[in-house]
Amino acid sequence: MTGGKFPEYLHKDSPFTVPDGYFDDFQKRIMLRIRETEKPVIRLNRYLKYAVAAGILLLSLTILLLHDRPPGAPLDDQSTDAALTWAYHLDKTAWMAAMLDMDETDRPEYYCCTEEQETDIIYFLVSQDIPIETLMQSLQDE
Amino acid sequence: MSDYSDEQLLKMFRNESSRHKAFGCIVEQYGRRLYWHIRKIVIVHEDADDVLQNTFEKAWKGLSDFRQEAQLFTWLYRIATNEAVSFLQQKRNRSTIPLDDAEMLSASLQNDSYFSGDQIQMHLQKAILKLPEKQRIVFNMKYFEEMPYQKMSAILDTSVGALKASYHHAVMKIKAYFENASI
Repeated sequence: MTGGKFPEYLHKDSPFTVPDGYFDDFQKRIMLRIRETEKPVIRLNRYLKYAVAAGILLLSLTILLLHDRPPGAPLDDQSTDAALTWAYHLDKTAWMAAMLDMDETDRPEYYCCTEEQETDIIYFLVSQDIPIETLMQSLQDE
Repeated sequence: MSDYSDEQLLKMFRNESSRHKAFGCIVEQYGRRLYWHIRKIVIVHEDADDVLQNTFEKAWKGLSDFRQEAQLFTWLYRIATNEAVSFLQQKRNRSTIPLDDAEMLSASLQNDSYFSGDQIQMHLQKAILKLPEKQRIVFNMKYFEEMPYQKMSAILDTSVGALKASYHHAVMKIKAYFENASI
């Protein structure tokens, strides 16, 4: 060994173990996860994209208004719950991206926190007639 | 399952109908070695399992662009190492108590139900955990996995000379640890 020998009592046997049968099915588990990642992503068409951007903008404004609300004040707008639901799905970076960059290269995944959330939102959007109020009402009813 | 060459696996992967089979073979062929490599970095079994899955997910997404400038094994090892290091960084950032890697991983080691080593092995692992990250990875690859420096150089994108120096420093520190601890 470079730099001299280790004490003789040291040995290279691995002291780590794994749960029984771990290596028996890990290929299956990994392939299952791979198949999960392959679930189809429905891309938003041009109009849906703008509808999403409008919703995001509305949400941003709602959040801004909420920031002005005194702590503990009751929610006085029915759309707030729906907006908060959206807030759960979308992150700050996504709002910024939506507001600043709305060209053809926009991809729905930029708006979402995770792939699952993105897929949820997209599936939901395509299953609805667009006006954003309808969408938000539906979210509120969930 | 018999081992396939990189060329065979990649050829199968490029064919849509045999893509999953090819990747299954890759997982089968390299999964175990990658697991142990990751495990020595992240220590805890559950974490190693997560990192291994992330590694293969990344590999699945990137394999179409793999240009065989390196061996498949080298490429997978590189992904696994990066994933493991990122994982530790995220874990450290999530921790409410400011701990360095050595403290965090030593605590994990103490509580790891999948550690069957004796006291000496526990001390050796703790000594390894005290090493800087790069030295720790190099030491594990050289000492436990007995990987040639050339291969390590391709994986870690570091010159052979630098790797030898890292390993030498690591050995000296571990020896000093044992001498000081009077074990």
